[in-house]
Amino acid sequence: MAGDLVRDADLRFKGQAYTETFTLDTSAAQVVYRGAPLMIIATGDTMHAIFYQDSINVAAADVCLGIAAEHKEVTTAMDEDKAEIEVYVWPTIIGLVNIAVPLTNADIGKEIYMSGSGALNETVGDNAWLGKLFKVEDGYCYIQLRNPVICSGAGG
Amino acid sequence: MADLTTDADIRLKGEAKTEKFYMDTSAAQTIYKGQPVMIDQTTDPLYMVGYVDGIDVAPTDVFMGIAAEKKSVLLAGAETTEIELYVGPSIVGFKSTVFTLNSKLGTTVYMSDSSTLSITAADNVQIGTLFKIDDGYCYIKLSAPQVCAGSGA
Repeated sequence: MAGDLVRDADLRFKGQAYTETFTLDTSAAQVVYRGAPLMIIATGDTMHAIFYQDSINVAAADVCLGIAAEHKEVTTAMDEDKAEIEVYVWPTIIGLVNIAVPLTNADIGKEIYMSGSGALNETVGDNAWLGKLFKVEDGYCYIQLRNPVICSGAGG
Repeated sequence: MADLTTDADIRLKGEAKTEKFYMDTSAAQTIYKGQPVMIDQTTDPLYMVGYVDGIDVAPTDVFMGIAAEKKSVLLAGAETTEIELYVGPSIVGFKSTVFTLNSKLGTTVYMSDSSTLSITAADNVQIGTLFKIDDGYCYIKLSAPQVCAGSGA
């Protein structure tokens, strides 16, 4: 649970934001907070998204779709075609609060992952891949999203 | 599937970016809208040819983009005929059932003939990565211009 969101995250943007709509997996109830990464788990539901949290060990075949643009709740067995969620995708530059790992402008260009739904990280590990660090400013890390992206370096 | 004989049904997501290039006239050719266009280093390192199944793409060949218009040239004509191509970062949608699962988003995509998407590098042209599957169309984020380094022809 370390670094997971318990409410919608504060987000900022540089330039225009781009979104795509995906549908959520309803094999279990989900509360997706704005700012959480959305995933397709290759060994699970290959069509519908779940939100990433620290307890998920991302594998090399899993796909990070992007960052949730809205708060959305679904109940178990709800019609998945009606469980749409708007997701920020490439080439959006999104600003996330820089708390878990103190990144600086010396880190610009590095690949950035999330180790919890609210925690940025420089380590691929079993984490969700977002993109590369674009700028650090006013307490926010701006990430140029690559999503949707296959988390090919992950080893979870 | 087979090579295009008419313009393809393509869709675009967001803003499309195009560039113009000259067509090769060492042979007569018709390039259809939606067809990959490339530099075949063994044919002409400067002018464009339309990719078809009969071309074995080599690692030094370059994918230049997706034809945005139909254009024909005659054998030995002046190489002054321009063709407009969709290039990166355009997102082009191809009518296809090759990809149906969101677990494939982000996959590197090739074409095995002028109308068929593929996941195989082999002697195929590398066009980009799968961005979205929607309404029977596979949307590809173009990487053109792209050296087809993974090709083994």
